[in-house]
Amino acid sequence: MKLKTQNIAFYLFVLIQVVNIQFSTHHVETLDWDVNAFLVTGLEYGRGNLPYEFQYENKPPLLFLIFYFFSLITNSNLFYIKIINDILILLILIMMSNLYKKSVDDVFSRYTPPLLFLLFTSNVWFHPNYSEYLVIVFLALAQIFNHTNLKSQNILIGFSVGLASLINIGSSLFLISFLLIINLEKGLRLFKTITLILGFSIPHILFLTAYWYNNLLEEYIMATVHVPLSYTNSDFSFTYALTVFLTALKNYDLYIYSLLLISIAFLIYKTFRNTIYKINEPEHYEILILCISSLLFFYVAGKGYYHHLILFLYFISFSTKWISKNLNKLIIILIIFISLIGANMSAFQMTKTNLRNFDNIQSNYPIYQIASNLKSKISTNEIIFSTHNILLLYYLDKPNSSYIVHPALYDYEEITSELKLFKKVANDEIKNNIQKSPKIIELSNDEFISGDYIKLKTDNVNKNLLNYWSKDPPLNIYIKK
Amino acid sequence: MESITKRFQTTKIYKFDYLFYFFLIIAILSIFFNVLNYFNLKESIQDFDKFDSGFCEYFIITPSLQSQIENKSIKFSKKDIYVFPELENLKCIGRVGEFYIENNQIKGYVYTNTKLVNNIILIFNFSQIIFHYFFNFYTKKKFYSLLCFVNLILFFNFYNSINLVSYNFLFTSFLIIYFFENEA
Repeated sequence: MKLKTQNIAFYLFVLIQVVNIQFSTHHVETLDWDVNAFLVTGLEYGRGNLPYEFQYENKPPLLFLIFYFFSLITNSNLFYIKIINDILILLILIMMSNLYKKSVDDVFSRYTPPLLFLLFTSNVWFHPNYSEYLVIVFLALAQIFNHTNLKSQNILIGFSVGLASLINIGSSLFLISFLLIINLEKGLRLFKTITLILGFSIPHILFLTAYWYNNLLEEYIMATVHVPLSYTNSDFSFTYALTVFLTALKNYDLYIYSLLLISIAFLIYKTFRNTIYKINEPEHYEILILCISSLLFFYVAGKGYYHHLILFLYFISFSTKWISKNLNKLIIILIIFISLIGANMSAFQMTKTNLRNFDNIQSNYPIYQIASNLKSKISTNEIIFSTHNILLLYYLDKPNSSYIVHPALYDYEEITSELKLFKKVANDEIKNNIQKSPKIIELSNDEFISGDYIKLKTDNVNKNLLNYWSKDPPLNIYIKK
Repeated sequence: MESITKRFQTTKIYKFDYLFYFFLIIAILSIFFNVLNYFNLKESIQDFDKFDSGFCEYFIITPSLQSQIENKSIKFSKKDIYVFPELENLKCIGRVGEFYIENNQIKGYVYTNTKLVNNIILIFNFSQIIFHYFFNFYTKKKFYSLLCFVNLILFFNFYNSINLVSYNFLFTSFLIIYFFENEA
């Protein structure tokens, strides 16, 4: 009974923390382009199409299905979709507090991992609805299934990892991790291995069948095999990218940064200690394997974006769970406490404003305002070409005239070259789409001049709310006369 | 039998003591020569027209050193150099070269290689932790002294190549040792 009250108090505490930290940036429409691209591509399901059929975004299809579902339940309200992400983070934190209770179960070990993850992701870098959060939900389910005694345990682990890999292809790496984990304790177990692989295959077979049934197998293979493989061609330095992140984290908050170093140091210490004294602690090895895999995930993604480290931050948060000495626990609690004060203080003012302004946040979004005005000017069969503020497509419920959805993909040679090979985009994709003479053209530069088009006046739009990372983001919308 | 094992253990620690003193002497000598070298640079550079910088002859502690010599100021900036396959460049890390005069200011480069220095710190610290805790190579006192001395020397001699990652490796190593001493 006492435990339940304690849990409820903790859940309420993290709820307040999540709201305070996450709501501080909800007034800005775009925190990251990725989310906009997921939303626009997700709408394809609503038109009866499959992703990659007419619209391409560099992620597996389940992610778009989930985002389409988010659009449906929120009536395409971006602000509410952001709140869904907050709920997801809260769910992850609750799951974390209930994981690995077999070997150690006290207040410190139960509540430290979620608090660490909350702090590691408290910076605005990790506020958007990244696919990694959804991946974590499914990987956490796999972790939970791994510690149950269900008969179908391995199928369920495989199935969860399979779903995660259909949200972010890089998380397929965790299939190998879980295969290692289930075989580590008592040697190679063929039946367990086969059932786990079978579970992993089920969601993949389902999606493969759906694409095959719609004669889109080639597109599916292109998006899930060819393009991800082309990523390995990109010029990327793992150590440099990690250094950049660590420097940024140190500049953001020295206490949170030191918590990360303590977590890493404790994981290494524990590994050394277990090796020296030949201690068999399966839960520790599980975390070690998952941490290494999540670093591999960052490496394989090959871009060095901070959000590719969310999975590592999630798994490393568990490492200090096994600290036993009270003094060390106290030190960590103290640093967590100071960090929480810092994170809350910096977010509080903006969160307060946003909560007061709750009803107007969506209507204040700049692209939402522009789209609302344009809605009456565009008919069902007219097309739009957008290369920057693609939320315009989302609000107007229109596909992009280009096969490419994500604005950054035009510059990724390793991806566009694959799309060109499959004859999905032209050599000069932007010029080619302008020549299609769409009703609305939205570009990242203002060099476009044509007698057929007039530039939309956007002086009354509050550009501060457009993009978090740019003080004067480009907003160039042209309408056909 | 027991006495043989004891004797072997004593010999083992005794032998590795030599390793400890070897590291210590190398460290003290390197600091001594570099400090000497640094004062040498300050003196030689005063007569810039006759100054011969040679091949990475002079050592410097910090590139922000900007002293005034007569009417000329001196300014050094960092320059990363490869040490593979040009192994002779190893000598240059932490040293200065390529002097020139611009706008009545003596300019030069301090050669750095962050990756190499970080790898040295990582490999040294972690190998010592493994040697000490896995194989019991040194006594605790000597292990601590060796770790402190060598890290001090690395940070002193390669100060210009040190970045946040170097501090991370150092901090993490000390944390691991702390956990070994206070958690086990």
